[in-house]
Order: sequence, then C-alpha cells, then structure tokens
Amino acid sequence: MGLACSRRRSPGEDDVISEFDDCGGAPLMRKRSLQLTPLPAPFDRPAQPGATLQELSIRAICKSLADSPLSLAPLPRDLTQRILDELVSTRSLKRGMLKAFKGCCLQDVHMASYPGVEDEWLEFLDHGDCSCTCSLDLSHCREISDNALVYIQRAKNLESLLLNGCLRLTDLGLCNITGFDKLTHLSLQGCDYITAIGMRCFAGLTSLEVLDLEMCSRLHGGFRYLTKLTRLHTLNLGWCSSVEDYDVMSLQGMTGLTDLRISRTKVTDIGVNHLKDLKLKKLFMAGCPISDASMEVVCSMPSLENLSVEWCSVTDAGFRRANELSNLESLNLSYSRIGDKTLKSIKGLPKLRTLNLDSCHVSNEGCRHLAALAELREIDLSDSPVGNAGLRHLTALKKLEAILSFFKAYPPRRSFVITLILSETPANAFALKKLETILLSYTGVTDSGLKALAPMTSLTSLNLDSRHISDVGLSHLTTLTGLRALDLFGAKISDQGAAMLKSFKQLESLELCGGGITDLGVRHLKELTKMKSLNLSQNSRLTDDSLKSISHLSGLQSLNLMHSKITNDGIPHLKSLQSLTSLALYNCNISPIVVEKLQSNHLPRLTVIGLE
Amino acid sequence: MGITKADTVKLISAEGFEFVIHKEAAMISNTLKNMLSSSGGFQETELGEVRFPEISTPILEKLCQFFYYKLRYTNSAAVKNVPEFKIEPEIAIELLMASNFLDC
Repeated sequence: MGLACSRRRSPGEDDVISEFDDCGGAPLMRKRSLQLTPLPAPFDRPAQPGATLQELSIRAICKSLADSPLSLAPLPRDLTQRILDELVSTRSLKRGMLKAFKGCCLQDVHMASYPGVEDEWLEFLDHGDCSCTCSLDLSHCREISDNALVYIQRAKNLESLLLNGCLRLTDLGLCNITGFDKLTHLSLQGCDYITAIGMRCFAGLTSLEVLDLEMCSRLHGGFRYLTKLTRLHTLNLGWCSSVEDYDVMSLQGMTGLTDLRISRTKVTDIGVNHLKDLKLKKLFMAGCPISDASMEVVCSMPSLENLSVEWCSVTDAGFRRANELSNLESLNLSYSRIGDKTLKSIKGLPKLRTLNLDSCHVSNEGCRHLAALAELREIDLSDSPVGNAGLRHLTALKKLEAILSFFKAYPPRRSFVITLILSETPANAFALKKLETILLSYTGVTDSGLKALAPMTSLTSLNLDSRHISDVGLSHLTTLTGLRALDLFGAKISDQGAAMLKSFKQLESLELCGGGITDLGVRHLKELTKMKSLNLSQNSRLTDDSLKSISHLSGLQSLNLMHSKITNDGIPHLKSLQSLTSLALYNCNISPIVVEKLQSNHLPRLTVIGLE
Repeated sequence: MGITKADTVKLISAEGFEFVIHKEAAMISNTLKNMLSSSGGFQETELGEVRFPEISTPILEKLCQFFYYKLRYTNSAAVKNVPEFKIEPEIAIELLMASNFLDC
C-alpha cells in the first residue's frame, strides 16, 4: 500500500477510538493520518452572499484596524468580543491592534496557538479593564514566558487560565499566580520547567476545581500544596514521570477529588492504597507499575464510573470483586493480563457502556458473559483470540453501536468476524442494525459478504480498504444512503464502481486509491456535493479533466492527487474551491510557481505538500 | 409593475430623512420582520413606517442598500459572481451597532 501518511481517517472512526482511549496510547499508533491544521481565512475573502451585515461590518472593522487606530469602546461587550474573535480566527490580529480594545470589556481572550504572541501583547490587560476578563487561553503560544504572568496577574477575576504548552514558563513566573479568588480552571500541560517549588502558588487558589499538569515531569514533592484545595475535583497528572507513591499520599485527604489521572507515573500499589477513601468517579492508571493488590483497592470504590488500567500487569485475581463496581460505565482493560474470569466478574455491571479488551486473552467462551451487559454500546476486541463463535454472543446486545476489531498483525490472519456472522445468518444483521461504524480494513471479507451489510441503513461510516472488494461488492451497498465516510483505499474499484458512488449523496469523505479510476469515473463524483475530503491518490491515469470535475465540489477541504497525471494547466481549476485547505501532490510534476499563484490569488488558506 | 403602499414601508432616520423600501427587502432585518408581521402587534404595522431616532441617515441608507443586496443575491443562481458589499471604514462601527439592533 505504501505512502501511508497520505491517508486520513474518517472523523467518525477517531471519535469511537477516543471513547476508549484515556490519554493516548496504542490507538494513536493506529492512526495513519497526516492532518495539516488548516489556516483560517485571512480577511480578504470572497464575497459571501450568506453573510449578515453584522459579519460584514465586523470584517470591515477588522480590516480598518490594520491600517489605522480606532477605538472600539463605544461598542457593547458582545460585539467587541466578536471583533477580537474574528481577528484571532482570521489570523489578522497584530499586537498594535490590541490598543483599540482599550476601555472595552473582553470576557474571553482566546489566542491558543496564535502565531507570534509575545509577553508584551498582554499589556492590554493593564488598561484597568481587565477585571472583566474571566477566561484566558494562551496555550501553545510558544513565545510566552514568565513576564506574561506579570500582566496576567492583573486580571484578578479570571476563572479559567490555560497555558498548555507554554514551554518557557518557570517557577519564577508562577509566583505571579496569586490572588485569583475566582480561578476554577488552571491548565499547564507540558510546562516542563515547573517544579515542586512553583507548585507553592497553587496553595492560594482556593476556588480551583480543575488542575491539569499533564506531562510536567518535575513535580515530585509539590503535592502538599494542593491539600487545602477543597474544591478541586479534577487532577490530571498523566505522563508526569516523577510522580510516585509519596506524591499520591498527599492526595489522600482530598475527598472532593472525583477525577484523577495518573497514567504513566511511577505510582505503585502503595500509592493506590492511599486513594482508597476517595470517592473517585474517573481513575486512569494506564501503564502504572501496579499489580492485583491495586485492583482490590479499586474494586472497593463503588463510585467509579470510568476506569483505565491499560498496559497494567493486572490479572483475573485482581478483578474478583469487580462486580461491586455497580456505577462503572467505561472500562479499559487493553493490554492487561486479564482473561475470561474477569469477563465473568463484570457480567453483572448494569451501567457498562464501553469495554476495551484490545489484546486481552479472552476467548470465545468468555464472550458468553458479555451477553448480559445490556447497556453495552461499544466494545474493542482487536487482537484478541475472539472469533465468530464469541461474537455471536454479542448479537444479543441490542444497544451495541460499535464493535472494533482491528487485526493489527499484518498480513491478516483471519477474515473480519462480524461480517462472517452477518453473511452466515442475515437475520443477525437486524440485531446490529444500530451499528454506525464498521471497519473491514485488512480483512478477507469478499464482495459476496457485503450483501449482509445492505440492510444496515444506519451505517454512516464504512471502511472497506481491502483488495478483495470490487465493483460487484459495492453494488450491494447502494442502500446505505446515509454513509458519510467511505474508505475504499485499496479496493479494486473501476469507473463503473465510481458511478455507483452517486447513491451516497451524504458522503463527506471518500478514499478511492486502488488505481482503477480514470477521468470518466471522477466525473461521477461531481454530484457528491457534500464532499469535504477526497483521496484519489495512486490513480495514475487521472488527468486535468479530473480537476475540472473536482472543481464542482465546492465544500472540499482536503484533496489528495498523488501519483496522478495532472499538469500545471489543470491546477487553476481548483480556484473555485474556496474551502480547500490541504492538497497533496507528491509525484505529480507540478511547478511550485503555479501552486504559489493559486495560493496568493485565490486560496490563501491552502497548504500544499509534495511539491518537488 | 406598480408599487402599492401595502408593499412598502417607510424607514425614518434620526434626522427625519425617509426611505421608502419594499417590505420584502425590509424583512431581511429580523427586527423589522417582527415589527411588520401582523402578529407583532406593533403600531408600525398599521402606519407602515418605522422611526429610528438612533440611526443617522448615511447608516440607514447603507442598511437599505444591504437589504436590496441581500434580496438580489441570496439564493441567486449566479452565486459565483456576487459582488462584494462595500463598507467604508468610517461607518463600520456605527453600522455594526445598527445591524446588531436590526438583527441582520
């Protein structure tokens, strides 16, 4: 298949995965995507007949702010807010423009990832009007340093302060985080210079409810400063590699804590024992060096709703009393050592909705217990020994919406089991008719097997990336008119198959990279006007004529034409695609000059990859 | 095509300048739409005129221009050649406040 980076997963797929995933880990590795963050439109965009006069006036004001200073003070608060948001979202805010906001009451200053923001930009907080500011987000503004906090300190009414990825912040700067009586949410993810000394400032933040310190690796010893924060309910210490049992001990009296994330820390059974009196609802311990002793403690926390012990060396013995977790809604056991006995222990959990058994040693026979989990919506059985016989038990689950079963080992060992069930006994399809997502990539499923999917009209996302699928298989699926994402990456689809794609009027994302498509096939795609992401790479017969057809897809945001025969003459056809932000042209013999012309004259937001 | 009084509405600026426009155009503004619809029960419905003591003549003129611009180009088949609706920087702030009030 090669060139895996050109692939984009459909949004639906990722959503399902994130449900299972607490904070990264294995599913990230499954992503085969390279997603470019699109730059928002600059303010010279084309006329939009849909725009309101308010929007047009705001744009006119933003434009004139660039040329001359003017005061926005006469405007009411909600309108100045909209002007600031427009300046930020169009990337046209410059430091000097902030003067215009003098005397204005800006509630939300959200400049996350805004390029070029420096400490001095925050001078506007010095205008005496910053008492209105209740939410400030400077996450990933890389130039922000300790001096910024001197300005921020003046915004005494802040309720939310997000400084994720402000890598230059140090303990010295944190000294300024004092006197924020209303601050409820503080986020400092990845601020790696922060140590226990800097954490002293947290002691004064008595209103704090959410503290996010993920990926701060030097916090060991600083948690005693949190003990008086009686309102703190959410604490994220994931990937804080210096956090160990001693630190968790400081948390033992914090009975207000309901959400604790200590994934990938050094916390052991001793540390987990300190947590036993907390009324936790969420506990994420992925990759912690814990054993079954910890699970004994965890099983006596009936308040738990969401638990992850992904990558932990826990076994069935630890889960003997798991049936007591009667509020549990989500359980991630992936890559742990549990087996069928744990499935028996959890079979009575009345609220369990998502269950991740990725790479667990559960058997077909063990799946019998799962049939009792009436509320189950999603289950991941990837890389487990469960086959058709086991999955048959799942057909009893009326609320099931997604079954994930990737076989990550390559080449595929087995066909995709779900489809086999369906093809054996089509009646079972109705038990699963609420399923929205089916992934059949890298499987042995064949054209005739797809007949079983025809009644599943609730499907919105279907992955058929398999060499065994051809036009014939596609012809069975024309009933699936609700499909929004269809992945036929490696399928053997010809122009004839492309004509059938016209049935899928809701299609927003399509991968069609089997090499069998010509300009004729692409003409059929013109009618798919909701298309946002189109991947036609590896179709080496496509010429400029295809670009002409594609130019009708006015909502297109992402286009991949790698390894096609398009030329410099065809590129101008793309100028009508005002939403296009990402274009891949590897191995296309396109001149950078032509592309630059397209970008500067018509599509300033466009990012192009793969130019020679 | 003749224009009857019932089809039009008179908008009066702070300075007393009167703009007579089609109701259809005025309805682009949600505020005016509410005022002019029979269910609104506003006095304006019967008189067929609306006074704007806060809106100056040049701003009200611009608003009227916008109503017709919108009427002409919304749902138009030739969407591709929509001209830009030009707003002079000097009036942008006042126009924003007025359009905020008129909800358009």
